[in-house]
Amino acid sequence: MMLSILRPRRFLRLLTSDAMNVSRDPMLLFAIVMSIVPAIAFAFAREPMDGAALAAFGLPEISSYVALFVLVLPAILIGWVTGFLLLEDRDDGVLLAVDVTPVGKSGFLLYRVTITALIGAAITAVAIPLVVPSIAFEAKILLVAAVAAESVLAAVILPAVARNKVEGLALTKLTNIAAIIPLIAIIPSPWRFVAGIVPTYWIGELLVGPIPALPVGVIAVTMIVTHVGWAAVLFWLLGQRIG
Amino acid sequence: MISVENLVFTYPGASAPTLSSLTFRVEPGEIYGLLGPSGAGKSTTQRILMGLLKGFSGTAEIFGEPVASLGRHLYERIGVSFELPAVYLRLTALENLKLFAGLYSKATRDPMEVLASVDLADAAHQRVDQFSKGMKMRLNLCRALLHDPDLVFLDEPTTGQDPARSRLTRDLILALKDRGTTIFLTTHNMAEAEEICDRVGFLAGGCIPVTGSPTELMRQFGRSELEVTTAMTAGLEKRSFAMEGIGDNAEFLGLLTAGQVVSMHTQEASLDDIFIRATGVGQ
Repeated sequence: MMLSILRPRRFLRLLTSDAMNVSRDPMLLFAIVMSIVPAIAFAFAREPMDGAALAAFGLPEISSYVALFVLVLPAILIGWVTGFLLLEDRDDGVLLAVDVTPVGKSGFLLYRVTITALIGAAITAVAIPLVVPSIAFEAKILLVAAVAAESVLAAVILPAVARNKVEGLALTKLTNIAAIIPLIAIIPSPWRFVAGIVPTYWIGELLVGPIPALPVGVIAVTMIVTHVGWAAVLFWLLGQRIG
Repeated sequence: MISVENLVFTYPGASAPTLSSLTFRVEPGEIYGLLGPSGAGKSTTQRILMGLLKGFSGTAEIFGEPVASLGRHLYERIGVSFELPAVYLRLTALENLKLFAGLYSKATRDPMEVLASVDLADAAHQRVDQFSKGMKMRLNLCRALLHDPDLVFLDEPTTGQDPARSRLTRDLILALKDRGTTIFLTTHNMAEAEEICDRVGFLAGGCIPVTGSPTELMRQFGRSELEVTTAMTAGLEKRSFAMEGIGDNAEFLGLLTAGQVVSMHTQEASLDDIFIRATGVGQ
């Protein structure tokens, strides 16, 4: 019954409603737009940005560091939109109303998680050729999977931890720090791995880690363990919070 | 339709059970009102019957099956209207109903027809955040009725509504009953319960000490007297007469023939009186 939420007609019905819901809130709409725009702007601004940074500060290829932020941003923003919708669903009683339908809370949550991961993955798939076109195929796959998973984590952390929308907004300020965590990967010290507890760090390790970089296989395994670990904790907390 | 026997439920950490040996039945096509003070366990009872609360002992059956065994198919056959509006505020009324209709496997009713039944057809394309509380409650009711359920749980269905809309909602509930739908109602509005419920049960101390039809209970808890108000030269005067043998009561007959009677009322208890006596609240 829970999986019936993934039937195309039902899934599209929910997606249409969510699209209308988001489009009528300027803040949510802005977040969606801003998850896509930076990657497009980056493609056009890369060379002027590198030139300007070199001329002004003597920093070469600053765009490769900005790219990390541009790639992680969709996960943070798409996740925030979904998390905020889930907070509203919980606070406004909609989740309770959904719980007395055949789909249930679990089915509805499955839809929200699936659509969040799909949008996160789709935006990343579009962003890769614009932002990091020359990375290896395995890295591209890992990147898409990581952003999809991080979108879900960013979505779930809000209703799992915050008791209401006000707390949700405060928590957002904290979770936004995850967008700059990948930059820690450029530090050529083993201490940088401490930041590996934050899932987004591994995108930095994957794309700009110091030479010699960790093997992709090691990064992939660590990435999976970190993301799955966080998901387990957050979904457990969410279960406690929404029943 | 609903059968509850010796239902016991204690919330984790609570020192006393919320429900203790709760027993009642609701027959198919009946409007049953569960009445009681706040915190008496009405919502707990509803949540157990809706399959939302586990960890109880005793029997809770719907459609002749234990609630736990019905799984999520239960929700194809029951509709729930909560005390607070549970709808998307940025969507219109029609968009909300289309969304919820999409969550059922069976064919649902035309959302416009359901909206019209609660006088919301004109507001179908209006965003819900522009609705009054009464309008939101009526939309809540629409959501509960979309899939034409056999059993409907209604929690304070006329909250926030003006008298005319309250009347409309009560008429809708009575129309549902005429179509064979069973209604399980919880309300603090005793006049409403008296008007539409076939039977009521007063929940107190985790069980139902008093149950029956409103008329039967009002008679049982009332005085068998007739209060007569007469117009005298000094003003209005009230007198009470025992109902037994009233046809032979010379004084009463004298008042009738003298044409001085302004009004006559039998002295049944009101459901408010019965509520207070049954639940002990306010005594």
